[in-house]
Formats: sequence, structure tokens, C-alpha cells
Amino acid sequence: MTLASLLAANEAFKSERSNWPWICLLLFPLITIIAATWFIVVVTVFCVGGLAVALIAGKRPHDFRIVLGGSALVFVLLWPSVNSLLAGTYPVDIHWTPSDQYTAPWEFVIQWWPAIVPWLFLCFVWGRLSLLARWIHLAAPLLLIFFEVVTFSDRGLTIEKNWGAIYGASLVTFLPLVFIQRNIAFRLLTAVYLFISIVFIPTWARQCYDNSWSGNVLHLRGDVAIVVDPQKKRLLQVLQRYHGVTVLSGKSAEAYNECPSMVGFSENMCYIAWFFQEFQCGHGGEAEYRDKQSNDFFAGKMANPLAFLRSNNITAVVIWPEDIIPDNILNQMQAQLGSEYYYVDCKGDGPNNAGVFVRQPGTVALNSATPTPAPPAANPAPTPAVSPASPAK
Amino acid sequence: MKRLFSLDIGTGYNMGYNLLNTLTVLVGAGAAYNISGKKTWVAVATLMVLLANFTGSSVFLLYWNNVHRVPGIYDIFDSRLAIDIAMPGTIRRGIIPSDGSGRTARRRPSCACSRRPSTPISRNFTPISPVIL
Repeated sequence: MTLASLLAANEAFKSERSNWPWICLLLFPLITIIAATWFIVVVTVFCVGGLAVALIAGKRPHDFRIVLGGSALVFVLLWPSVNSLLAGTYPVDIHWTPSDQYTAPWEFVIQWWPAIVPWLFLCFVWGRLSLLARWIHLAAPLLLIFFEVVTFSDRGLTIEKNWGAIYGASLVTFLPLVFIQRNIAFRLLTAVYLFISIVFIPTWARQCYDNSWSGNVLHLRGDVAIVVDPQKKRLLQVLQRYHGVTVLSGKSAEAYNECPSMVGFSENMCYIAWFFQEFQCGHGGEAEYRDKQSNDFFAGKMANPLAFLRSNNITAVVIWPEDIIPDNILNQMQAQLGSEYYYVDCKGDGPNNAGVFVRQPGTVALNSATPTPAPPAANPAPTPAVSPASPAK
Repeated sequence: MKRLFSLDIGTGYNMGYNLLNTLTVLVGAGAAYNISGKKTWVAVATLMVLLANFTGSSVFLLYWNNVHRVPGIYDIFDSRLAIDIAMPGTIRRGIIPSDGSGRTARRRPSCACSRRPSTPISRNFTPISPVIL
């Protein structure tokens, strides 16, 4: 959205008259509320500033009526979505950044030199820049200062999102302006950037090849993080024997834990996973209840775990290695669930317990009239080792 | 047609993400083309810089991770210089490729803090990427 705002501003600044850039500049802040709310400040500054600068420079749309009418039409169409967000009860905590959270100067220089250096160079040709370029040249550091002293809710997220936006805007604005200068200093700086880029493209490719994609080069399934780990790969293979069933995927966390993604890759459903946005939007009650249930289950604190699994029609329970379920809790689960669930042990040579409790075929859940289907014979299991405690297989 | 309509979720996500990145760098190159006064080589050069995905600390981390004679020296820096430049919001928080050794993230110059718990200094995860959603 940030780069699109810059593009629209530049299009509006062209000598040829047109309507779309003006409509975009009017509507991008509204669209940003829906699509990428973190960037609302940056996008609004660039859009409003771009509009103002274009008008000051004597630029005009091809037809004001089309611009206003088109913007009004899109505004009306967008309003229901915007309103649903604005009408939410989720509090937005905007506060001054505590002094101990300011960015250290040396960190700032190391992180930002690719934007700072061209910015400084452009100070020497400031008088030759267009009005729009001057505006962006001025707005970028002001935005940085703004986000240094103002925090939206979380400091890390505020910085992470908005610095990225300003960094991207700085690159696509300052670098072209540096590249087109004929002065030898600018030419040398251009060469430095191109050299670094030429080094980094193959470096990234090499490191992705060597480290990130081991055994999965150019595969797009996205499950590399799972399949490169022998334990997780076996867990995935076990779950892939089912389709569309409910799975208790491991200890619950509000977001960004890995085990629910494995359930997703197996094309099954999580009983609870990544519920932070539900909580954020004011629908956290059920999610938080399930979160507590899940974590009580894996802590061995649930009085009757079998009834819990049956009543929620949970077909499989994952013992995720990174949850570090101790042997005594695992043994307790096997004893409590053994009458209806067998345990597929996927620990192998791994340091932590890993496996899946799978409901035995033919077992009927409390709220379902449909017996658990047997896994299709054509899709063989990954020859998992079955623990001695497993009551049936 | 069968392949098109039987995409698994991972491939679907990756294709969508690639298209979004393509759109982003295309828009960036378009802005650079306009800013430079319609110079094609400038748009291409800016595209290269965007595709290279480097930020200030990437250069330092590349040196510390790969060239410096003292192995692991970057460890004292990487959490403070940590940036992730690939997938906003996902790589940093742990959904990343891994070889199981725990070194994957640190050997990548631009996502040094991946798979690490947040620390009091995690406020400096910056800049996330020239890829702006």
C-alpha cells in the first residue's frame, strides 16, 4: 500500500492528466484500514501529502467529477467493511514511547544506512528535485521520528511494520533519484548499491538452497519446516491418513506456534489454534475456553480427558515434540485414553516424546452418529512404531 | 485443470505470496520509473535492489555469518540487528524452514532471530522488508 501510494502520487504528478491516480490517493487510506491497518499513518501521510503537492504544483485530474464520483462510489462500497472495523471494541493503545525503548543510535545507523546515505546525498541536489521528491525526502525522516516517539500498542510491532513501510518508500524514492544524477559521487554510490544487490541475490539463492530448502528445493508445498524434522514428518504422515477430522494439535498458544500448521498441511481441522485475532476482535470467550481446555489436557490436569475428546468429536491428539510432554504425563494419557484411542509413537531418535493418539475405527463420538472411519488402506501408514502401552492397533 | 483445482494449501499460499511480492516489486519499479523521469534502466536497477532484499544489517550479518574467522561472532549482535526480510510476521515467529540444527536462521543474513524467543530487545526487529503489505 505504501509503494502503491507513491506510484499514485507520481502518476498524479505527471504532465498528462488522468483520473485514476487521484481516486487512488483519495481512497488508499480507506483501503489501508481494511487491508493493512498498521500502515494507515504512513499511507495517509504520503497520500494526503501527494495530493497537496500535486495541487500546489498545478497538477489537476482530467475530470474532477469523475474523480469525486468514482471516489464516492468506492467509498460507499467499502464503508461496510471499514465500519465493521471502526465500530469494534478492541482498544488501540497509543502512547509516547518510554525512553528506555528508544532505538540506540548505532543500531539505527547500521539498520538504516541504505536509506540514510542516499538521503544525505540528495540534500546536495535538493534544489533540483521535483516538489513531490522534496516532499517524500522531508516526510520519510519525519515519519521515522514520529514512530520513534509514538507507539501503537506494541513497540516491536509498531517498529516492525512502520519501519518496513518507510524503508521501502525510501528505497524506491531515494535510489532512483541517486541513480539519475551524473555526478561522480552519485555514480559511485549507484555502483555500490548495484554491487551489493548483485552479491545478495545469488547469496540468498545459495543460502536458501543450502539451508532452507534441504531436500525440498523449488517445492512449493510450504511444509519444509515439518518434513525436514523426522519426528514431525512422521506425525504429518499419520495425520494425512485422515481428512477433515478434528485434531487436538498440541499445547495451545494464542498465535504462531507451529503444530497447528502441521494439522493444516494434513488437511484436517484444529480444535483450537492461533486464536489471538478472535480475542482481538472481541470473540475470545470460546477460544480462550478451548485454549484452557487444551492446555489442561496436555498438562494432565483434566479430570476426564476421554469424555472431553468424545464430546468434541476429536479424532486425533498430537503429542508435539516441542511441547516436551514428560513420560509420566504420556503414560497417564495412555492409561486414560487407551480404551478408545491407540497411540502411534513417532519419537524415534528424537529427544522428546512425539506421537498421535488416534481414535479407533468404529468408535462413535458423543455428539456424532458417524463412526470414525478407518484410514484408507491405499494410503499406508509410515510404519510407525507402536508403543507397548497401545491397547489396540 | 486438475492441478489448478487441487492445490494444497501450502502451494496455494506460496503462489499467492509470490504473486503479492511480484505485484509489490512491480509497483516499486513503477514508482522508480516515474520518479526517475521514465528511465527504464533505473527501474530495472531499483527492481534489482528490491529483489536483493538487503537492509543495512544484512551486509554486516553476511560478513559475520560467513567470512569472519571467529565462528559465531555474530551471535552477540544478531538479536539486536535481527531483521526478517522474507515473510513478514511468519519467519520471525518460527514458521521457517529448518535443518533441525538450529543454525538455519542465523546463517541467513536477514532473519537472524528466527526461532528465538522474544527478548526485551526484540523491539529492534527492523526493517522488516522492502516488501510492504
